[in-house]
Amino acid sequence: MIKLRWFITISILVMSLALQNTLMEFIRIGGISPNFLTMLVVAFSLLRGKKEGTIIGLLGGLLYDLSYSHIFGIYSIGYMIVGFCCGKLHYFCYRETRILPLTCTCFASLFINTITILRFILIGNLNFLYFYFCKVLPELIYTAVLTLIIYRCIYFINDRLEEQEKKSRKLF
Amino acid sequence: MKLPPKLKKKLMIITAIICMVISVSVSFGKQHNITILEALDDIITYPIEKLITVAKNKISGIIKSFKDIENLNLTNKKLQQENEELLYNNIRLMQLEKENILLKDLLDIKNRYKSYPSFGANVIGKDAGNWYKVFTIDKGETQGVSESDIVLANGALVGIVNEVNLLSSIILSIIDDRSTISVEVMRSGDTGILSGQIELSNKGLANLEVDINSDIVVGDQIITSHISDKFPPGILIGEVIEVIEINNGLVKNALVLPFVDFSTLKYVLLIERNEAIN
Repeated sequence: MIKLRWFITISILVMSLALQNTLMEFIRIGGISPNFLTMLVVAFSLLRGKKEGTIIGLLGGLLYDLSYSHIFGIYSIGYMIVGFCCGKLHYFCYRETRILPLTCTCFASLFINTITILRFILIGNLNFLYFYFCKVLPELIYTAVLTLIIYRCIYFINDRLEEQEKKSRKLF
Repeated sequence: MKLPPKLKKKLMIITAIICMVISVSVSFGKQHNITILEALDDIITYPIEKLITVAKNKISGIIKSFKDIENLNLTNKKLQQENEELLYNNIRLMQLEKENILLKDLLDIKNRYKSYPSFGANVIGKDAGNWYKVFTIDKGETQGVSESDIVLANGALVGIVNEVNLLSSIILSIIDDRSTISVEVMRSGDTGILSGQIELSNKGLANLEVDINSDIVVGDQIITSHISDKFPPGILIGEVIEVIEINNGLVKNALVLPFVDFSTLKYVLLIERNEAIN
């Protein structure tokens, strides 16, 4: 059963990456796209705790790093930290409310984008006003709005998986 | 599940070691062209991305074909008229070409303008984030793509192959923040540096920096220069849409609009780099 759980989680990550790479141009608003990986990592780690959250964050970040990143490791470590921190809040999370996922996604998006900006600081581009108001803030709002939908889906999938696991536990 | 503290510590150390080994192997592999992890990632994501792109293109093609029938009739008439004109021009140009070849032979610069070997590819993915302008194409090492091949679309420059995987490769476009190209103003022959900028890349523009004394006006066409060792000379890039004077007495800036529309890029043409330079 644990195998099924991880198979589904990893295939969700791979599918989200592939969809984000190919169909993103249809949902871009003003050239700004939401970040599905942040939503997924936050949702999964809030629902499953810090250990699994860390692993999911690492895997998702690794996939992203391998396909596009210029500096290897930035997103793996970044999403790992996001997964760990959101996993710490697992016990405070009432699953039906959406306030915690919303705020967590906002902070995670801010954190990941700040890591990305580090690269621009290193080459001497210090146009913070532009970065934060024209790139980070629109993405944050867009991502936060879509989280309401994505969190619902992940919650549903997770619920089904846990039900399956309970059934199989009763058998033995 | 509660773990005893000793085991917990061990687990943390193991995780840290795995992270380090992965990053070392990837960066080592990049230096020596052994890319196991990248190849694995490629094999997993390539079929999905390819499938989605093919389906997307098919569907949009069907919808478009209904829309376009009226337009096609109109353009057909126009094109026929144009065709007649072009035929006439072609004959004239053939004569000029013969003359040109004769003159070039005299000058001995014939070898510079060889027709480069090239092949086409489809764009199957774009960078998901908002920071960089990178594309994935569906040809990789197995199809004969090599690093720093030159990428064109509609006869104008798109960028350069930045990373080659097993089945796909990644293109760094000219409007990306990491790209810099040596270019030349076609009319006056002044050289300058065209660099992508994060502030301009979402609008599809790039920034050109030329000497303060150079002759540049709005509407000038920009081509790759003879100085560059990455690009063969004379490839079209774009058009100057605005000249910005800076009061530092050293350089002038200009905004360049590339001829390629990066938001609707679908098919590209690859030129093998080694052939182009030699």
